[in-house]
Amino acid sequence: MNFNDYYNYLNGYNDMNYMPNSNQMIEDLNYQSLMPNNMNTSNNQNNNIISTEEGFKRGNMFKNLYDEYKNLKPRKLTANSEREDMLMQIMEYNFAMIDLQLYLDMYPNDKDALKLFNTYLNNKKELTNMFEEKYGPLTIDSEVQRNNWLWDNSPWPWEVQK
Amino acid sequence: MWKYIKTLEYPVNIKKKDLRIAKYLVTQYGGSNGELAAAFRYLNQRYTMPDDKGKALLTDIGTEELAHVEIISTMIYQLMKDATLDELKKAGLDTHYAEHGRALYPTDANGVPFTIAYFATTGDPLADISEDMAAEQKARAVYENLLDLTDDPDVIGPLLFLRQREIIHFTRFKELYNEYKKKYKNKM
Repeated sequence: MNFNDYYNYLNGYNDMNYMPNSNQMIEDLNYQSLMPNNMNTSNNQNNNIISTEEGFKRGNMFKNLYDEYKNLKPRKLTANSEREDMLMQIMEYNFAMIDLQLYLDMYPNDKDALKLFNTYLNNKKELTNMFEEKYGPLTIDSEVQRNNWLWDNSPWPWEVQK
Repeated sequence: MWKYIKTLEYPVNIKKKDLRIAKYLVTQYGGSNGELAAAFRYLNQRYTMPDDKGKALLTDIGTEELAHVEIISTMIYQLMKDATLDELKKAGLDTHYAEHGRALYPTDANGVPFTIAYFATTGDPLADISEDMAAEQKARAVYENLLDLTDDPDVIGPLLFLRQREIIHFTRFKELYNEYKKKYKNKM
């Protein structure tokens, strides 16, 4: 499977005929498990941890801790490019891990939360590897710099993405 | 030690320059309740937490605050970067320009430079964590003030995200406080 197929699949573009061989891919459960929307969070003790997609938008993975201000709704996150879309998925898992990390610091015996943390970690790792192969390193110890120094060869996060 | 990840914690993509907002927003960079003060506060207090749980929580929240410094800095940079000298003057940022050009500088909204005197460390975990809880509440209140002052969705998005983080951090500090209060009863 090439990167574009994988990427489109992750973003649910399969029903828009982005993928030439969708049947084969739908059978591939490994890829399905990476889709944030398909993540099984129902085994969570009190069902208090929400999806990574919604949690990332809100800045809060915990249903009972979410507190709206003046009816302002979280911004809908849209990407302007394939690179940005892929990066946003990584950021989504990264954020879910940060929020669960702080929770696990306080409740280290919550095995359900730990399981979720590890699921997000694995998804993030896989996506990061694919992203870095195509767009360059996100961290200095990325393995994509085998032959070329690529660290300064991609946009810095504070630049406006067009 | 720390390792840099070449991405923000939450995306910032502000298309419309707005010096007025940049001028307010800077307080969450270098103001008394800003992200820089938060990062240093927790990372400085963590050494004398009485157990590994407290050391972990202060390290991890302090680390996340560094990512928030980057989000706020990015917002200010994007809001200011295309401004002409004339626009800077009109917005009252000519004094900033005189000192710093178009570079960033951590001050509060009144231009008062960041100082480490914005936070305390007593070495008493309950006192220190109480300060941390108050700091998160004050930062939340400032984010709400800032939200009242803008209608740009590109600015509102990150501000809402950061406001939720204050709520989460406050909750975790409060949990730690309650645990220490019980655990070290009569000992602190």
